[in-house]
Amino acid sequence: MQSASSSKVGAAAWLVGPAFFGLAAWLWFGGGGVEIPRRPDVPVDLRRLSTAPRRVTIGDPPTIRINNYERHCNDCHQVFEISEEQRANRMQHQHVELQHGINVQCRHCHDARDMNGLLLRDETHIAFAEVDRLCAQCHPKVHEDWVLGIHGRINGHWDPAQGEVRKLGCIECHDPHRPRTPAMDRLAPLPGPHTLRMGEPAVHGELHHPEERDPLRRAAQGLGASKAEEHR
Amino acid sequence: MTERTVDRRNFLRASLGAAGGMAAFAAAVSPLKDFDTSDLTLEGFLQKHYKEMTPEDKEQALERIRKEVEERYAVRPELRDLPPIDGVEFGYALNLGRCIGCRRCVHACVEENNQSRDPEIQYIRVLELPRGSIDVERSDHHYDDREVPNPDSFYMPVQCHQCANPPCVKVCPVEATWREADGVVVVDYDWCIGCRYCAAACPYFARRFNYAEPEIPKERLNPNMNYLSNRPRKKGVMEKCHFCLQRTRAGRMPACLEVCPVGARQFGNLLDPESNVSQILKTKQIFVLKQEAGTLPRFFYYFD
Amino acid sequence: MKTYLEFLARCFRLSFVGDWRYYTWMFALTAIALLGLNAYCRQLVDGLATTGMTDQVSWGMYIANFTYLVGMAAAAVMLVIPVYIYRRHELHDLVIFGELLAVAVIFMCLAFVTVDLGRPDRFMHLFLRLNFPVSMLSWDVIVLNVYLLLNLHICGYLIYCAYRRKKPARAFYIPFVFIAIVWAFSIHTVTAFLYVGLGSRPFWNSAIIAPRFLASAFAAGPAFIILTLQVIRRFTGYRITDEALRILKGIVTVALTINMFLLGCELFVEFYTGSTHAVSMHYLFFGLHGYDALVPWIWTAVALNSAALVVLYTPASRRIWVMDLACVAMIVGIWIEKGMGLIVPAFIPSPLGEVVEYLPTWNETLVCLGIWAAGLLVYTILVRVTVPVLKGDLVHEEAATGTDRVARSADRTQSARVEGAPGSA
Repeated sequence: MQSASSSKVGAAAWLVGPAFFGLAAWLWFGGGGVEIPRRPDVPVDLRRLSTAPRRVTIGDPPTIRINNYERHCNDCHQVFEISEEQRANRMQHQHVELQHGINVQCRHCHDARDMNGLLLRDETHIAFAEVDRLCAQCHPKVHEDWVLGIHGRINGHWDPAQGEVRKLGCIECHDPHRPRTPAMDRLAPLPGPHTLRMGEPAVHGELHHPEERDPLRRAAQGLGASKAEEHR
Repeated sequence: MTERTVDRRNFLRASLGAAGGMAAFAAAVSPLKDFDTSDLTLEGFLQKHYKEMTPEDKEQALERIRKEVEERYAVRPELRDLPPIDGVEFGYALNLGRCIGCRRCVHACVEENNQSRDPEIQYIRVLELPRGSIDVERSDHHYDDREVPNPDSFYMPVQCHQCANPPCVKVCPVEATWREADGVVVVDYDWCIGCRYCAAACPYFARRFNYAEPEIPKERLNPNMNYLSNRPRKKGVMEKCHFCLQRTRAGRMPACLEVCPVGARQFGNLLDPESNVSQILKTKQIFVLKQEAGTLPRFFYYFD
Repeated sequence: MKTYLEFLARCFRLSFVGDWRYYTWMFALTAIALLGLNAYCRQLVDGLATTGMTDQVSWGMYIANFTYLVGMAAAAVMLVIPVYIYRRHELHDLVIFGELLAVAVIFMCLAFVTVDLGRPDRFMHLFLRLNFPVSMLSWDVIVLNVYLLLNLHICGYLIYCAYRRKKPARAFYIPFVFIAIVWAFSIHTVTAFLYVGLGSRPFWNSAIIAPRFLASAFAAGPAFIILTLQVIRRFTGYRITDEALRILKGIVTVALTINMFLLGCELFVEFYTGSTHAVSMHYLFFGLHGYDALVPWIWTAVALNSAALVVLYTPASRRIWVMDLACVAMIVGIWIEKGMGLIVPAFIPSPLGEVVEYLPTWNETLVCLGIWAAGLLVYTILVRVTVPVLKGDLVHEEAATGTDRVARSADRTQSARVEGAPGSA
């Protein structure tokens, strides 16, 4: 019995070496690589990441280009006086579409006597650079926030000791003639996240058509549903 | 069978087994031939923890990293190790009433901070939420509307909140992440062992792990680098938003703020009572995300 | 010292000797371990992207196995407690197998933690700047390694004494046995604290997790030992009584009952409260937004555990094979429940409400299988050399100088094995 078992041992032990060689060969040639789901990088157009103000302002004192000549406002307006009727004939200012609440005439903001600047309600003439004082007349709360650095954007430095604190002015974002342009706060979003092995976004799209149990939100969604449809 | 033949047989059998075993072992470890050993330098291995480095050690480490970056990206980086500024604790405030969810901040951050493009790593997540609730469980991270904002939604960007009581720092077994004097939670990418415990501990999903070797197009590398912030990372380590230390410790605004088209983001020094963030804390209605977690964020949301 | 080295050398040689079943078993384990090593090398080259883990689900199968195995290691004391505290001497000679299991399993635990690291080359940093006592992971590193040393000492000392035919000096091991008992509780409690201390994960942030861990560990661990002891009895002829198995069965039954009760408590609190914190639990049991990868698994676990519990309380389980079946069901059930079922759902949805599911990759699975195989390999070798020593087949007085002696003693073991076989059937 003992000899039988030891010969069995022998036979089995002989197989170990070749079996390992087989395993080695399989690992070397057959062992496949690992699939890592890759996604070709689609670089975002850097122009869409511009930190420039959204509006280009026309300088102080402002200039306008007519027939290839840079002109100051007063170059013309010393000659052409603006009157109550001027809105009918806007001459060089065809593109201006004035939709700014109760301000329906140029002279409500511009100083008709000296068009290089603006006019406050108390008849003070101010330069274009101080436009925020003009805005502050009707928007004091926002202006207060802007002064404190709460409203609007600050480019450059947060620390005045180390560099320029470039606080963007009112009209570097808002169009003074038409502050509520549809395009003011509407943008095409940049691509959403696409992390490794993310799979299909789970709650995506469901947000606007959920099974809503909360009565408050249900009502809110009922009201907004048509708008959302239109939007998508 | 004599003793001799048995012995010889035993010996042969054992040798064959041992040779086979060694061959199989060699074959098993053969994938290591593709291992990128540039990551395993002796200098890197012996490098001390950031807080234990002498100025000379630091300069040596900075020089090593400069060389590595230059070799890999063919760009000589402006790598520095900016210290926290005395009397400054950074705070961030975000106006939820303004944010339109355009994701400019997300991508400006990627460009500024040299995140991996593939696999994709982004520090900022913008959540689209239905009006009337700030329940993040109902948020959509993947909205792809033609234009934003959706009139029924509001948007909440989330990034590292630089907690004053950071759970991620607490759990790190090797102190590879800590809170700096200016309140920013940083990671020593050369010390992190990659256990991802901090990712499990973070209530804001702010931590990102390099599951593979990061890929950054050479021409998109930002050469303005800082040791504790946006220098290129290696695979296997954790990273996160650090309020653009390479900028903010030089007095500049973070990249996500400068790109915001609606001015929803405000950044400044909380210890300066006149700073914009201090004013916001004083005058606006503020809330912090997951206050119940007790993390004391330095990132505030407000409305106006 | 020389004797000790000689002892180690003889043990080493002995581990290569056995019959064809032994060779087949050892070859299979080695082969799987090598496949795992191969997969791990690929992971080293390509990074943890080779696993199914993501930023959203940042821990997966590795940590799940780790958690399960810490419990298994802790459960080794369930053999020790009856002997040294309740004086149940049926188990006295079996204690060593529990402790050996603890050694092998802690080895597996450490392996699972290591493969989970993104930068294993920086392992040194744990010694250079361990964040103790703040980080629970630093506690875990310490308690696990100390537990390993404690068990190595106890086993090593007892086996070496048996080899030298010396009576073990109680002062050299009894205190360590008692420390090990307390320590076993500590390793699993600390491991539970890893998870429950995280306020960001409501699924884990529950005080009941630690007791649940211990209860499930003291069910699955002894269940595994019941099976192991029968294997040892079958193949080595070592004397193991059915009575010993029944004592363990009693422990298993009570522990499983407590485990199911605590799970029920947890489920009640989560679902009855109905707060948003139950969302992970909801994902686990019913799915979320149509995502339900874990739902079949957890219900399988519940079914297996319930079936095992019912069977263990019926007289049918007096029959060994019925009891074995219940043990297998419970081992699998608890592996699912506290492995994948406890780790993965905590990450789903993410703290910001994103649902990304976790699916282990084949590479990751191979690494896990490899570690299990390596652990079993270690355990087999430990048992392989321990049994002849305890039976007195491998002793110092016979002072071996050549392979033939060892082979002879091994042959004796085999013949004993053949003799022992019918007894166990």
